[in-house]
Amino acid sequence: MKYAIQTRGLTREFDGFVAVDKVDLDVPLGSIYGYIGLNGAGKTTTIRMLTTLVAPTRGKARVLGHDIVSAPLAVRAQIGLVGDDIGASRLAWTPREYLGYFARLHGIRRPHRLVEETLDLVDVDAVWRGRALVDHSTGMQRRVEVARALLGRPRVLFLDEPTRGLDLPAKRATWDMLLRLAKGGVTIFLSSHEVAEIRTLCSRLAVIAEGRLVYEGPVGGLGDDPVAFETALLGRLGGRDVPKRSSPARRW
Amino acid sequence: MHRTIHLPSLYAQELRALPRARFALAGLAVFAVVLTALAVVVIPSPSGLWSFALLVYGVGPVVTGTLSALLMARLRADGLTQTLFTMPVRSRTVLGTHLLVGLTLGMFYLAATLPFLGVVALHIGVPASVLRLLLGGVLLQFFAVVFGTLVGVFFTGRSVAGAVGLTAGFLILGMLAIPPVASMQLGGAFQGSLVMRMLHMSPYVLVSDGLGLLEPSVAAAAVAPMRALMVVTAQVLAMSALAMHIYVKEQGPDRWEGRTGRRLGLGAGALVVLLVAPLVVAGDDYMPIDEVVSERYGSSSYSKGAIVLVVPQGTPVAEATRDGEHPLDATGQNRRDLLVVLPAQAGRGLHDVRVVFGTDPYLTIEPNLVFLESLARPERHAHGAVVRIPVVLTPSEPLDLTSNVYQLWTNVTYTIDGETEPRVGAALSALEADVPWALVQLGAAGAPLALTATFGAVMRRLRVG
Repeated sequence: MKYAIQTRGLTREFDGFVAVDKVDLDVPLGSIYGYIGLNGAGKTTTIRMLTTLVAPTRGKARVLGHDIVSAPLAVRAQIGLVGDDIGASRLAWTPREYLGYFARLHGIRRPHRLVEETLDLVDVDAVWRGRALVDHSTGMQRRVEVARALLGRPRVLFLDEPTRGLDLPAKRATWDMLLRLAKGGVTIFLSSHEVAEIRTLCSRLAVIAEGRLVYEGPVGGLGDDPVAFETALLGRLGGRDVPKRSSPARRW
Repeated sequence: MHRTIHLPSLYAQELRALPRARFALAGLAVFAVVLTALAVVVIPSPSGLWSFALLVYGVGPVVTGTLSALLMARLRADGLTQTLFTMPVRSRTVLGTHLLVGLTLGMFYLAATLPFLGVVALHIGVPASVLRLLLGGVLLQFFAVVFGTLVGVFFTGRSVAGAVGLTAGFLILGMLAIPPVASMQLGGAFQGSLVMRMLHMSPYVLVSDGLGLLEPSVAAAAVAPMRALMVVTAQVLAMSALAMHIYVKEQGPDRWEGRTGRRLGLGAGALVVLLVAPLVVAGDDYMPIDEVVSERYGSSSYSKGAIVLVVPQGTPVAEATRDGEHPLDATGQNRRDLLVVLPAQAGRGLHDVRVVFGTDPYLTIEPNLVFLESLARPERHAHGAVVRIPVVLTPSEPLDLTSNVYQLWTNVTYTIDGETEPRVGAALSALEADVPWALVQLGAAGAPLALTATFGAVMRRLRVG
């Protein structure tokens, strides 16, 4: 089996606090891979390491064969990240302006057509494409973010809780979009703490609790029906919410 | 192979992005109005061009430096980092782009002042000292942008307040607060003391020294232009290198990677670059020199009761006063009646009146010769008599757009009936001259930028589809 992402002993410490501890992952190429855990379990830190935003303290990780530490540019050239939100300074931009900016950075001199095609792909209504992002709903902003991440034609797409705060129709629309992308060959690394989302979309998943991997395997390995799945998951998570510790990253 | 984003590409996109910020165009419009108001109010006042230059080129970089810190800190504060740094871009490219954008903004700011200097140059030329201040403005822009970037790099949190506040505070101290201390020093209050060394903490003082702007006030042997320029250049280079080192080597895209002790060490290094090094190399031997009196302004004074200019056929006045109501046109010929008061007791006649004029080199006076020959019949006046002499006054080489002062000496001799000895009078007058329509032209010079920015802001606000 070919893997899009492989990690061995991936660890990240923040001034002595171990946020991610010796995580081993094998994400098959072209799959939707679930990464589930409670708040503060280490999901975001793992994604930030895999997307080269944070360097690991120890361990190794490769994305499409490129080492995240020694070849970060090669990794970045093949990935997209849909994070928490659009930068506040870009909220006055329209989706066309927002995507046009990043498309030009990707070297596309006349990005209009690509921008429209990408916005089509994520179902952003034509009426809203020329309106400032600040006026868009959370769901529409999230779709624009996905469109932005897709501009560079990434082979691996990282999504950090992409449906958080979305209503049910928006959530369903996002799921449909992710399934379409996966069918197109994009590997999707989906971080979430929504059981239904993981069960609906993913073929394999990893469960992280207090920085450590407590399960890695097929989704069905935790149970076939929702109740059995949740029971098994809670058993591995420890059944409690991990208090979010202040990160030294935010000092200065 | 993958495509890497290079500096020219990121720089071009960041420049395109600037006017897209929500309040950028509105802010630019306000900036243009403020700059125009400053030019219209300050330039035409006495010595206003110098004051304008001091404000705009000496103090203005505070704004640019603060903006530079804001842009740098904002990159990480509002989540842009994770979108930008998940693209194939190097840290040094991002920092280099930021520096270039900051410098571009600074140069745009200076360019926005050029129309005002254009109006000044059109009428009176731009004095060399103002050109030096303009050059100083460029140097201070470099300093402010690099300093703002360095401070901005230190802050990786969600708030830009720390970076903005620290940058603004330091630059205000260096550009505004310390120079008055320099004046006290040059005035002799702190001769040859440590205070003189401390003045070198101010980039404003260093640049002023480096460009020879201290020389009129400080003994030539005491100023050290080369030393000052080298210090400020070394500061800019060291701050750039430090910012690059921290951003590329000590930090990830949005956080410090080193331990706290290392951070503190780098902070101390920044303080050494900015504060300690200039103090070590600065001299403490600046001594004030005797005040040099301006050849053109220093000895001028207003006439008191001897002569007055009025418009042709204007009403004689009871007492001569400064002719502030009708300043001369500094760019052309001015027809006036010069009224010379000849004190004499009531009812006594005057004869043999002779008037001789003298002017400074920048004013010519052409009295009507016919009137000069018929001065024997002066008009009566409450305190004697008044002779009315039509003159054509032609000022030249004005120093400012308004409130130029030209000197006119009037020597008069006359004899009063019944007296054998002629009486002698002399007056030194200061004649004021303005460049007509200067205010309107200054306003017009600033209007296009303000109107364009306002139009752009309105259009963006109304943007749909």
